[in-house]
Amino acid sequence: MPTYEKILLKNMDTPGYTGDLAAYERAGGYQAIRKVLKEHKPEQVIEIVKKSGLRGRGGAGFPTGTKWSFIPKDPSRPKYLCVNADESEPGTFKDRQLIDRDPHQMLEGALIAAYAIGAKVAYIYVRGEFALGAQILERAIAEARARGYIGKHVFGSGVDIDVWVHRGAGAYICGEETALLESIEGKRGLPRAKPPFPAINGLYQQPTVVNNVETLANLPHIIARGPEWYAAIGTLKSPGMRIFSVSGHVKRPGNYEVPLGIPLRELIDEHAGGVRDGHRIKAIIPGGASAAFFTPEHLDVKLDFESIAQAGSMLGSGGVTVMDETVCMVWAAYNLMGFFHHESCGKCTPCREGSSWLHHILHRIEHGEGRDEDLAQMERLCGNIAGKTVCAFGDAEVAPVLSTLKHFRHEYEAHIRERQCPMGEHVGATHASPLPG
Amino acid sequence: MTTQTAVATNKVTLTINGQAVTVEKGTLLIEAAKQAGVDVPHFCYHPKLKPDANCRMCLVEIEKAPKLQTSCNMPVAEGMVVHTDSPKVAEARAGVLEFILANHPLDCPICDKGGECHLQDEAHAYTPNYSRFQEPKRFFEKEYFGPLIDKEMTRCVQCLRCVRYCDEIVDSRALGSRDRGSLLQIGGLVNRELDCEFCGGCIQICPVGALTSRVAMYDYRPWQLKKIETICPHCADGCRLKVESRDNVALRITSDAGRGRNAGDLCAKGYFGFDVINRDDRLKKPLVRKARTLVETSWFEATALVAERFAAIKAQHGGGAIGGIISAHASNEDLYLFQKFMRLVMGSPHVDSTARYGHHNTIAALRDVVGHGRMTASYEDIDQAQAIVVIGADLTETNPIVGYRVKHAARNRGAALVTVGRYGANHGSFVSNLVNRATHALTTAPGQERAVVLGLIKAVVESGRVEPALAAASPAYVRRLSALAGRLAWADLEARAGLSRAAIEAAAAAYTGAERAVILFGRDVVRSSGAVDTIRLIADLAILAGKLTTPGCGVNPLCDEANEQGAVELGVAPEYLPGLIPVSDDAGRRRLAAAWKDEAPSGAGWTLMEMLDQARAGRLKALYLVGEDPLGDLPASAKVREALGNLELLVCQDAFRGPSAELAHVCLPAASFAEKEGSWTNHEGRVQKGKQALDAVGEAETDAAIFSEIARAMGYPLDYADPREILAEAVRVAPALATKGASVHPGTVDPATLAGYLSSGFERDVERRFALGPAAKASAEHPYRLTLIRSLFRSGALTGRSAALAKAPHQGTLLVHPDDAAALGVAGGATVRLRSAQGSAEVMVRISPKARPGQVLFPEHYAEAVRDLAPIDVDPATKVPIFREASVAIETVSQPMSRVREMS
Repeated sequence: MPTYEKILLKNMDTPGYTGDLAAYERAGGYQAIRKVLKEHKPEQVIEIVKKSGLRGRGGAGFPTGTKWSFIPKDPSRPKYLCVNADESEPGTFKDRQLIDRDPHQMLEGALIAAYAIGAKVAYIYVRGEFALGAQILERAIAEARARGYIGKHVFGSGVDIDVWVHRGAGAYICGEETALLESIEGKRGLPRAKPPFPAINGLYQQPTVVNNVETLANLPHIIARGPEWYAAIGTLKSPGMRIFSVSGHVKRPGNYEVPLGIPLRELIDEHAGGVRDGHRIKAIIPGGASAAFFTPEHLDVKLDFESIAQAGSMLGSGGVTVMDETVCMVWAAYNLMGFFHHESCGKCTPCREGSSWLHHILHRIEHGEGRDEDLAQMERLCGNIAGKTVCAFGDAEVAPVLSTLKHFRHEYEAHIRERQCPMGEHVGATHASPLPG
Repeated sequence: MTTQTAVATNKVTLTINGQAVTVEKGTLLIEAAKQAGVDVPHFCYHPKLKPDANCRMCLVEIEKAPKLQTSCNMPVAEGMVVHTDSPKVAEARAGVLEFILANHPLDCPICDKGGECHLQDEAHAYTPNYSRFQEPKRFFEKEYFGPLIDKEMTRCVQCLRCVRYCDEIVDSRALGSRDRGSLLQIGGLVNRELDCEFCGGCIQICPVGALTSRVAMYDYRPWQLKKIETICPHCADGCRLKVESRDNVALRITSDAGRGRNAGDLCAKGYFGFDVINRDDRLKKPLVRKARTLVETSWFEATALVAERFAAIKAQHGGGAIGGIISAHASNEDLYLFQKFMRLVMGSPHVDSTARYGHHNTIAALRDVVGHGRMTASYEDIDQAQAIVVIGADLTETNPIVGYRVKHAARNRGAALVTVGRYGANHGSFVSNLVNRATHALTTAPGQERAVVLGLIKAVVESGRVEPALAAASPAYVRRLSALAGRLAWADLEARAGLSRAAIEAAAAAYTGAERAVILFGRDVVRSSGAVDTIRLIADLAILAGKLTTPGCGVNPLCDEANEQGAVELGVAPEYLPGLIPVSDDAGRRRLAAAWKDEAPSGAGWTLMEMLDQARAGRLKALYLVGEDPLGDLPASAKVREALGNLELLVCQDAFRGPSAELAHVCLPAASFAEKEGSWTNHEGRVQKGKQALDAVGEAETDAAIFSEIARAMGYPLDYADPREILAEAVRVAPALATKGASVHPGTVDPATLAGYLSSGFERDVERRFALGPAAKASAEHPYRLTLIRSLFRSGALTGRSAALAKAPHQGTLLVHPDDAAALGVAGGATVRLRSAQGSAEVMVRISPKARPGQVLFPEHYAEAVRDLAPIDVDPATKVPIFREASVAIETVSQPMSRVREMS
């Protein structure tokens, strides 16, 4: 099995590492921010991150340095950094570990980012269910504040950066950056129509950057070891390490930090120990529930932004879910659609109505009440959702449906033909029950 | 200014459907398309609201954009190439409509919106005539937004216009979206039934039938309605509204978005209060008193009787024994003709209007300063102001539409908002309160508004912010006022106002620091004792700060009644002839006599209160009341009953039979505002014309027609072909209206008048107005100060008769501060007895920090007994009666049931 130097998971995988401030500093922590404050102007930090090629780890993979450079330089407007720690994508659990086990790594990254964009205040928006994570962050922030790392004149510089934890209340949509901003503002978390974009009118209508936890955790390392070092890891367009959360029917589910660009097969077979004995892979979701399903034919696709996109899915959140032959694909799509129907915020028409409609149709098919015209109907509905919604949720909710229809159409047809699930009492099979809305 | 011009000429050219369009930079694509004559279908977009882009109906194709874009939130860009009718757009539109219609019920046949529904129109234009949706339709548990508003969630398209309107325009935030995804619904944020301002805006802005009015529900189909525009009679904001009727029954009121001075916004009274027009108890026939009871008679008999009695009294005692009082709700035409009738036909100088209850104080204070009593800054100036000072006015309750503008400036444009008055912030109440939005809330005790204004003047003078040009041009004025302000001790001002010097100085700095600053003042100043002094001080404040005549600045008096401006300007006052000409002005009298071909009686006439005094004294023998009901309006301490009971002839001309009518010898049925053509002058000074929307009920006639009829019967014909002829004559004989352009425009400051004021006029009463006067003594026996406030839901006899308005919650309760409630041991809902030197009354308590400690607030027109608690005091100069404050003691009568259970 190929082994790689761990970067983000290094500290926490060191036996005895406690994750408190002293431990983090013993491991070399908080040196990068000191270096930045001493040696670099904010523009230079942006340049370094641009040069590193770091791309956002939340899902869309937008180049981080470029995102920062959209922040207007106008000194009269306050700027904000928001840390997206609302990790809610089904099958994804990397940010939770980064927060729980090494909070200061992410905090140091946040300080670097805040300095780069000129933000005096950073909010960490923590998923409501991460009660422990929120406590750990509060504790870490208190430690850092007590040491003068957070607050007025951080590290004795002339720079003020304050950091606050803001807990979510359980809505998946608040991971969408503008819904996240609304939620921090104390409003209902509904995505905003764009334009204007957060870089111009973000939190409290001021210039704002929203960065994912993993993205920020990379920053101290990029500063410490130089952008060239970072850019040399991974592929040309997708540099760096990536934490993949592997779950499902594998022998060793867990978080694996590997360079971007390794084949999917290596991640599943070698790092995660392969599919459970006596079974074979049927489908893989490579980048969280919003990503299109892959089949075993895709096992040689390389895990970088471009290659996965070219193969018809997306790297997304890095949540890799492996399903073996015991899983009914119609049920899998129905299950995910249930999630999307439940989590659709209801703000815009195609998503609000479409998620419900698709869920109803999948419910019928899975429960033996499918109709011949349902498949074409679903494809048409997906076409009326994707690309037509306020936020990316619309694209996400159609991915499982369209990809299972593409790769496993025969299973749908069997459900409709046999007026039942051909797999009988399979995992997760439920009896028909009325759906809400 | 040059940069503004540059921005203004900054145009962008783009192509829409192959057509080149040039629009202002920053224009939204959907608006640019509209300018090019291209309608982009939409639900959630509304020009009044910030774009939300949630319905996705307005998707268009922009070349080079990777996907379709919503045109409602996309600003135009140079060279943009846009297609609104490409196959991709058509497909997306059909897709959105299919989604919206999927769960929409097929209840168009009974939906009140049917026929004027956006969804019907768009469905007609863009969808196939069958549905592919075969799943069970979604349903919601039926809820009402209280007794006035119906919510039918199955019809909702979730565009959130109502929620956004309630927030962005009304600032009420009573509505929110509840639940999520396909179950998202509109709801009260806390309570299921709304507890809000009931402005009806959510209904008006709903594109479908999700929110409809429960007044006249299911009573009409929209296309059956006759729609006629007129002016709202309920306050002086001057809202343009449409009376929509079928078979001569008013069924609803609407106002088109952007129309009128109200820009299509209304308040509860305007939107829901129309049902009074249709009431069965309208006066429909003339009544004459026969054997102690009023019996119906014919117009012929009634007119003959009235004419004969008036003529007899005039012959026996002279015209001076006859008085006339008209309501300031009346149209300009009715007002003008009334004073002409009283002066020429009756030969009486005793003519007055209900503007005597307040606006005369404003006129007395400002006529010598600016030349009139109109606002000197327009509504648009309020919109664009950087600082707004609101003194003694609870705009949400008194003048809601001006209130929307002030709130808009404060919340959406970042204007500084200084509130000076007796109301505390009451966050948590859905009835938005200006104080909640204030950047400088100078909350003070009743009657201490003047102390705060003095403090503001002192702060302006002492911080060296007196307008330099003024100091150069009018050194005597500046020196004198500066000296007087200097003489005031901050400690005294702080004690009187109950505010810190710092707070007052900060507010003054916010005012003087703004280039565009407007002062508004209202009833708590105008209708209180010492009003003239306070109003003059307000003018002084603006003059000293250089913010009276500067463009975008001004001093804006607010009026309670729809046409107080018109009433005074058209000479319905014993001291003024039409055009604000003093009756003592000989040249003015000659000009009027030439126009009228007759002389108005000379000498001072009696005001409203004096007429009542003279009636009691037996010198006034006959009184002609038109739309005014002093027995209903004034407290017992005014002894109105004794006055009216002493008359030989009391004629009441009104749409309804009010308390005074019970003492009348003759009642004449008058047309309501909707039943006549006419014009009304709002407090801005805009003369706005309304059309006749309905035929008058029964045999009711317009006031002007009745005056003409009686005049003819008295042998002095005052005949006009139509109301327009009356207005034309009024404008002709009232040079002040004509020369100031005031008949159509808001008031501008008359330079000569102002110059006169600054050279010597300011000296009048200057010592008195700069003196703090004796402090009010707290009474041990009556420790609380009661103010009778004006309610949004009932502001007089007319709205008091509205069954719809009566359904709004929490009306007619005594507001008590939480601390006082705790001290008194009363819970919300408790019944207490108020006791004053004048009497006692029982009322229900509502706990609200809007009432400050030591003060209690009760709305006028809800309980005669409470009104009768107040003593009456008449301003010696303006004769304005002051009767809205009283010192009271409070005793608990009973606790609410919930509290009783708790205690046992």
